[in-house]
Amino acid sequence: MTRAATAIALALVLPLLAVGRAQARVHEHWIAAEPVHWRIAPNGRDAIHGRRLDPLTLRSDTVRYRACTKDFGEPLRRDPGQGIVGPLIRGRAGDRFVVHFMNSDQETGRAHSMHFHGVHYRFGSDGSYIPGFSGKGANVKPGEEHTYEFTAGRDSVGVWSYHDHSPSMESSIAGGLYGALSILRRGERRPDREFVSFLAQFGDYSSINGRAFVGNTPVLRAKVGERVQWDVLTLGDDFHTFHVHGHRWRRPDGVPEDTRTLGPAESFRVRWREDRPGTWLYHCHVESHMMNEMIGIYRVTR
Amino acid sequence: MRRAVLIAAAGLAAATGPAALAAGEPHHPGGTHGGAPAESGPGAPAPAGTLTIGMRGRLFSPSRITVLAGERVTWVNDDSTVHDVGADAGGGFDSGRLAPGASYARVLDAQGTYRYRCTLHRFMSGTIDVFALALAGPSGPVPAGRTATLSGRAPDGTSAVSIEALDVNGGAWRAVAEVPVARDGTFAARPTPARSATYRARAGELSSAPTRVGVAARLTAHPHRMGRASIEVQVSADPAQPGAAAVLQRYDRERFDWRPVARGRLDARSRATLRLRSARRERLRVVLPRGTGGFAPAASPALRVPATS
Repeated sequence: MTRAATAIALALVLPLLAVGRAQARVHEHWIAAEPVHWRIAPNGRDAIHGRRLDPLTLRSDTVRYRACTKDFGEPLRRDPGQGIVGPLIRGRAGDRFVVHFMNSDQETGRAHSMHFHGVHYRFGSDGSYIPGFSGKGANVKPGEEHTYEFTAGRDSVGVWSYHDHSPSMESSIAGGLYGALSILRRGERRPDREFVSFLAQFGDYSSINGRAFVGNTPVLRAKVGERVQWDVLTLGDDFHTFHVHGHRWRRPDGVPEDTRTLGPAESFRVRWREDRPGTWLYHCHVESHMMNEMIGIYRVTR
Repeated sequence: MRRAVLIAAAGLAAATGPAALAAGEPHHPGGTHGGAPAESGPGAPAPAGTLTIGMRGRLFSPSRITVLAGERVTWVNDDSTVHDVGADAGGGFDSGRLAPGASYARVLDAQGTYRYRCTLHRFMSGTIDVFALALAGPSGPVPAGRTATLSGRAPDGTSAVSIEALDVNGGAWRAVAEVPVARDGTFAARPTPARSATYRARAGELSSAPTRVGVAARLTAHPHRMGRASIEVQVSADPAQPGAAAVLQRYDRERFDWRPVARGRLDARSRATLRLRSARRERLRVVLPRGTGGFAPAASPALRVPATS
């Protein structure tokens, strides 16, 4: 073969080999637990029922996860729909993750940690407090840091929660110290839009990402034709039934549904391709949660 | 197509659009919603007449109420754990243990402030202000020049009460009216305050809780389209509010709320012009988050501005 022909042949073949042996990535994150003065319902009302809310119940001092630049240089900007929830950690099966955690909670002075569902890790990265067994990673004091390492296996595909599992776990989770991990299959197409909705009690209210009532809960957006993935998670004491108007998806066994139940620490992802515009409600269909305010709007435009 | 091994940057947040402000909060206008901020008596978010106190979430709610002497207050344990209700020193009541679902009632006869707490949950406490006379005013500011209706109740045997006012800028209580008490104990007064003022009712030794009546300037706002993509709003206030901050707000459908889009200040003639870049159809209003000279926050009527044709 001529040199040119060889070069062309290699140029065609090598990328095919690379796809077959696509290399796993290593993702490195810096995430701090930071105190925040949080407003659960900035518009101060239940717009659907025309009811004013008691301002005393709408604010709280709490702690959230905050992504930062390398070595905790600067806090990174937050996505408008993120609410109180920590940064979305994304990757694919086979990837490795290195998460540096810093406890910046000088307000309450409590220890915190990070505990990840769904992924593979050694005990030192478990992050859950077992006196006599667990180490510093389960009880990171204010001002201290710990690095967690884990890998996503083929059995880690899906969406999972991560959250505090230190001795102050109960109050942390009630205050929004949680986030999501989203793991795709190798070669799986990434969605055009990915929404993360944490359904959880927050203070006196049922919240989505720490916000309650329409106008305060995340306003989610997509365009007709886009592929949407919705990650739904819950933590706390209650069961919730996630429902989106105007849409339905299929269960793993192929049966269509438009409402799915989840209990504490459960999570799922659903996908569809948007085919028509509209302003759709998404909410927990447990009546008392919906009325007390686990409800938001999802706008699809052309 | 070959992928190198990467150390990905920190913070893989969902990439769905412009990031929020560093503070993480949507910017929120100070002042009114829908024209009328709620006014209430001293530390009492509960509306007049609330006589039942719940305990859900290990909180007495409402945590502070105002009642008439001789009315019955009922505490209901609508929480899922045991509580009790114990008056602080001198209060003289103690419910003992209340299981979930149980309730406890008490008639408070003497004028005064009663503090109570749950002895099982240290942070759970509440306050009851007992007044021998009850007086309530309008729930929001009253436009300048209009009468404010004050209504109240007096104990049996009272034939008349004196209504006293305290100007917002200080001074002493002064009597403004003497009103008769009906047979059922109710009475009413209709002053026309020139500026925000606080009122109370008195009958001999007895007095009611003070109730604040805010008086707001009347705002008129006229919108005009200027060119293709701009709206100008002329606003003026009467009575004059020179120097008052003025905020142009647009109704944001997605937030179900008014959001600020421009700020200015009323000039010496109590006027201002505020501008917004927009070719779309808009619903706008102007608010004064703080009145000057003792006036309450004010809001103009909502304005509909059609899209650029």
